[in-house]
Amino acid sequence: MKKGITIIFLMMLIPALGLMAAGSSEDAGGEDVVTVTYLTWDSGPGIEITKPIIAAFEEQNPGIKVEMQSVPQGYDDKVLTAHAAGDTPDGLLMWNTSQWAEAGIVQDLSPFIARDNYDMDQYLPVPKMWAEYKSGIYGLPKDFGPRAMFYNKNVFDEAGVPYPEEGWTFDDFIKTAKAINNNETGANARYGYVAIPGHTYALQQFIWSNGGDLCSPDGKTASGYINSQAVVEVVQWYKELFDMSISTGTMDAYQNLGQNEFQSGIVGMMDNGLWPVSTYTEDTSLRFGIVPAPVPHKGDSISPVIHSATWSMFAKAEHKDEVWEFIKYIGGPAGGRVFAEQHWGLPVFKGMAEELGLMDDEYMKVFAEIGDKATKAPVFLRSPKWFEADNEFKLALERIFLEDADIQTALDEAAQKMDVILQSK
Amino acid sequence: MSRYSIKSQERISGYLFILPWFLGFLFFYSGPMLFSFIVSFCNWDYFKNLTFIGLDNYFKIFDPAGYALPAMGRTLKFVFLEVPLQLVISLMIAMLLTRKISGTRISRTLIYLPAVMSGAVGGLIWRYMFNTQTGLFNYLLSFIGVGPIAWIENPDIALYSIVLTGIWAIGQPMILFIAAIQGVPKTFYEVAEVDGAGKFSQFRHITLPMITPTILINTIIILIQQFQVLAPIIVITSGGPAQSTYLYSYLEYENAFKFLKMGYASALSWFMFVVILFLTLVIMKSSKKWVFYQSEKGKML
Repeated sequence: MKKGITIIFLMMLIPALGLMAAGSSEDAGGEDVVTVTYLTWDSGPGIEITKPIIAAFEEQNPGIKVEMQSVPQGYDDKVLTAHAAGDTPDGLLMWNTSQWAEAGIVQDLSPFIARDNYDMDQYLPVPKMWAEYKSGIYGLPKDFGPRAMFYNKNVFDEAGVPYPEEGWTFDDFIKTAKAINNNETGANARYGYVAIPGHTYALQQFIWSNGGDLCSPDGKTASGYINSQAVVEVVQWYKELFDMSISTGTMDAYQNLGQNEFQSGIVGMMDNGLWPVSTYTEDTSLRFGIVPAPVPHKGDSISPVIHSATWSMFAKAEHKDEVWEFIKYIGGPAGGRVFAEQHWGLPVFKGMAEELGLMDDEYMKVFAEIGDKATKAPVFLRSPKWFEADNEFKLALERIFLEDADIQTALDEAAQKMDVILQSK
Repeated sequence: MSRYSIKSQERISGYLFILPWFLGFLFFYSGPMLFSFIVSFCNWDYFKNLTFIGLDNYFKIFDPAGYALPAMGRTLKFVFLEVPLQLVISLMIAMLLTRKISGTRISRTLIYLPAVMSGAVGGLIWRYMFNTQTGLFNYLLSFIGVGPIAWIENPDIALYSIVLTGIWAIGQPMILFIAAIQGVPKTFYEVAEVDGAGKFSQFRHITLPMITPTILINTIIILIQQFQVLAPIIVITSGGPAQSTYLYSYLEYENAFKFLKMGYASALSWFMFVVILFLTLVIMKSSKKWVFYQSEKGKML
């Protein structure tokens, strides 16, 4: 019996010793070379594109090596748990500035920017706003893209409907969608539009264009905003649209709103960012166009919503100076140019879109022109509590769109709950 | 031969068998569990601002206007559908695969396969199959002139669709059932056949009673697992539409990782723990009435 116990203990010890040995051998290699680790949600081609940038950076900075760590799934969870455990990589791609800045996950870069006299004025204003929270700057803008309306020319031609044009109105949009609907089911069905019941992010642009907003500029109050006339009008319009559209109600749809339905020609129009463009241009059978979102009334102007991200630094980074050098490089014109040349997004630098000839590209030109009109950063950047509050708005929208709840009542109720959340400690 | 009596030898080897799990629990689980218990009485956004707030998080769970109780109700409904579904199907398939027919090995592997797949990948596949316009289910239904059904877009249907995805989790209970069925002594069936008992009667009076211990363990394992089902919810519906699939586990996940309310999320976990513990105890208690143990010793379980 005793022998048995000894054997079991030995068996448990051996892997433990192995681990210790593996750990110690790791430190042996480096001589004054610092390895900067950088967390990204990109994978595959998204990593490939950074390789020449990193190679150029490492050549200029012989003392620094950069290692990208790809976490395509569960990225946010990984960031949070790594920070909570105290063992973070040095840098990270960031999208939700307010929450992660408030929680102290990301480093305020202002001291580094001031020390190096780094020029923040070279960035376009709205992507720059994305990096700012309270009085800090929490990253350098990566690239950006506004949302726009995609239309499938094959579907439009088949239905004999003229293509939409810039300056079209909410009413025009409904008429166009209606004209494309053929009221059939199954494979022959054609719909004007693919809608999501609770897509609050996309709705921002329509609400702004209609003169409204989702909450106060300080992010503390939703009452008087989310239940205002301007929002009610937009929701009313979207409800009519929703009822005649196909809907994709699932989470991933929030990122890939109807992309497949659009590509396969079931729907004529789709509201999206610029990611689908590269896939769609490869599909030679698909003819499509892109147009700015409709405006509430003839003569109004659009107030687009953008998507963006920043090159940021973990507050618990081990190699802060080194990762700052890398952020400056990849988040500066040298890195930004590589991303823009590959049409991954619009460049965040003033004048670079023209310089790189993006205005000669049929699709990038439209996005760039819409991007120029952006004056507002998305609402979630105003408050770290926004996501919880937004859930209430989303729920109200789902009740309105799916269960025909009264619009004003549902939004009033949501506003009250949102106030409580936004003002909670 | 040994300084220990047979009884204490058995006891020692029993403890040795559970030792790896016990050590794993001690080193990897007990610390975080204790920590989450403390945090459940605090307001904590993960990183800074840890403040003691007493029982507020627990009061919040029972707030009639809150989301926790309806989410728990939905989860109970989900679990009570899922447990019998998985039990019955895995038992049926185990019965089939213990017969002397060809292809049982490959079938066992194929049926077990989804259990090996990550929940997120499985969820993605289900989502494609559920797609109203381009999904497999509606495509097949179209041949018999049914549909299209809005599997995951209709708030009245979505939860049942998520229940369906549980079919891919039957691999594990099936394996246990197969082992149990094969463990039933052949002589019992031979005697029954001599007495003229039919196949169904043999199943009803021999197989079923003999595998009740496995039914018990499977029931408990599935129950515990299904309370914690999260990946398909995140990937397929994210709680929607109109909160129809907003299960308790997802509420917990959102509070912990999207709203950074770790204190409240910890309290939610502990409440779930109590509910699961209670249901497990009820099942264990009831098992005295319906589980058949071959030996007296078994009753010590």
